[in-house]
Amino acid sequence: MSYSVVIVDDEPPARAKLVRFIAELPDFRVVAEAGTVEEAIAALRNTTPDVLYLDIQLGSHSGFDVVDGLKATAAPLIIFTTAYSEYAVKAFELQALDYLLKPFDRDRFLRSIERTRAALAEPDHSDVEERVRRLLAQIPGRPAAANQILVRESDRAFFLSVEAIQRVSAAGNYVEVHANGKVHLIRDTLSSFIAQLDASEFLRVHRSHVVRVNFIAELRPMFHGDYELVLRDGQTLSLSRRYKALLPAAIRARL
Amino acid sequence: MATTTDPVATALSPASDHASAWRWLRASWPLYVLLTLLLGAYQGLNHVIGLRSTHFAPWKPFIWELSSVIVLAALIPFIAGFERRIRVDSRPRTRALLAHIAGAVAFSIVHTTGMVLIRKLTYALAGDSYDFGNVPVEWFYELQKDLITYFSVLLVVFAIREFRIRRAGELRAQELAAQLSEARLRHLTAQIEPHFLFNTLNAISNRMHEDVDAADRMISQLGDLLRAAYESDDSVLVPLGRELGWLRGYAAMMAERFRGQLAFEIDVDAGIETLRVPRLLLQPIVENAIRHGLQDGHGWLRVEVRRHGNQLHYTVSDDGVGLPGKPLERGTGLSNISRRLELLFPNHHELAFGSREPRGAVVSVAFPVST
Repeated sequence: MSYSVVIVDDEPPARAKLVRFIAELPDFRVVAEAGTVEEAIAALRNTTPDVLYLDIQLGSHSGFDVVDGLKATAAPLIIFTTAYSEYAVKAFELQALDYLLKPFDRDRFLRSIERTRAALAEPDHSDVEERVRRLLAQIPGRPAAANQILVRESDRAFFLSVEAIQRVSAAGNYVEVHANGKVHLIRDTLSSFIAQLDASEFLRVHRSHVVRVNFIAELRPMFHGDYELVLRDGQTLSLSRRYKALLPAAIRARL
Repeated sequence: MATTTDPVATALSPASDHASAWRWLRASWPLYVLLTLLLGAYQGLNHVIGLRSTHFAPWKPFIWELSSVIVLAALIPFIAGFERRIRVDSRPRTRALLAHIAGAVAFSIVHTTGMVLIRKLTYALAGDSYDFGNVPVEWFYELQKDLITYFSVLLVVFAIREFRIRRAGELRAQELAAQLSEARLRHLTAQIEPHFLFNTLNAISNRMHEDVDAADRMISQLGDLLRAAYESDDSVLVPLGRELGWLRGYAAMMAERFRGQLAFEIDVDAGIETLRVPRLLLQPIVENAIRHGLQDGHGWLRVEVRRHGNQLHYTVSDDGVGLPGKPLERGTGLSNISRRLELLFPNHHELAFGSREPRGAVVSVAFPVST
């Protein structure tokens, strides 16, 4: 069993270097390379890799456009590569995301691979996805969050005001949108649905739950370093250790 | 440049200085009136205390002082206006001196007349009558006081103006210094973009595993580019050969980085490499073309340098997405070029942006050269 890798970079030598480094590893194999946003999205749809090496600057486009185009597909673990991009590097550090600064040598590449192996060994990467979502929210020039969301129910379709949404949870092929005490079912994946929401207002607290920040009432410590999140409507959600680290400092300080 | 208004220069002009004083007076006249009344009342109080042994109705000294101060306050704007016309520090000095002596006498006549009228009026209202006394003696008494007042006002007006000029001068010096350092910084960073540098290093670090000699060449070419960037040469015009040296190094780097994707052609008329051309004028045009010509990761770029008589023509064409929006919005680099050309060859240069069929853009520049 080896992990599949897609490399996205507009410069052939930069791709060649990663291909050469990865070829030396027994547990990774490159399944596709891409030089443009369109090629990248196509390659990711076709191969659904475990790992994506993504260059931030793709000609006049951005690697973040690739992430935007990913929405409905299973998200790979992303390792960003960049030559120089001040705001992106700051954002990576803030979200503790893995990135490689070009030029990098084998040692730095292997250190990043160690972290990648550890992350891939975890059964659930939804917290990394959440970090990427928050990263994108910090990058200037990204599309703004929606004000209204189209809800199609069996007999009608209507616009739901985002302000009314209190939490969103995954339920099989649907997401449950809790708004003003009502639950709406929308056919979508949680990752794809919350891409429309403002990452600073809606926090992912679990692979299956997203909550509005000011709808969180209380945090209760549970066993094994896990927590229970009490919402304003009295419902409780469990909060794993990994997601606790993702909470804003202001909320973590209340623990 | 000539069309931009310099806020500092405007603030320095006497007309606007006068206008700003008027604006202050119009906005703050209640304060001015209040200060006038307070000064009058204070002087009146002093006068009452000074005359405490003699028997006067205590309101009279207040009327004497207030009438004087009110007329003075009303006349100060005229003194300032007159000073603006004939400045105390203007030359010939005798003209300024004589004018202001005449001004002081005129001020004294109006001031004394005005205050005597006010006093007569208020006395009459109180059923009393005001007697100015022996007119020549009293008027001389007022004149010697008014001379001091008049020249004090001149001094204050002069001091305020000097202060403003000095402050505006300091602001201007600061602004100039900031602009200069910004221009220097922009100049430096314009030559080697961080992206360019780090991506090139990355390409070299790959190339050396494939072909050591090729990697060696890249390092030496990058060295040349860096050297050109760090050169502390401020000359505006350089030999064309030096511009082309930069261009060839840059082209070689880009061809390596986008091997098999980018075709980079340079076509130069023979025997023109010693012509003097504006420094680093080609660079932003070429970089811009790379950015737009390589949008889908593939493309070609062609740079032509031709001499037609005493005109030099640069033509940079690519097969990118053409010209979205206004050409000058394509980058600050290109608007800088237009400004530099205008400064170097006013009305004797051309800068044109066009589209190619079926796709791509052409930027052409023409300017006079001398051997």
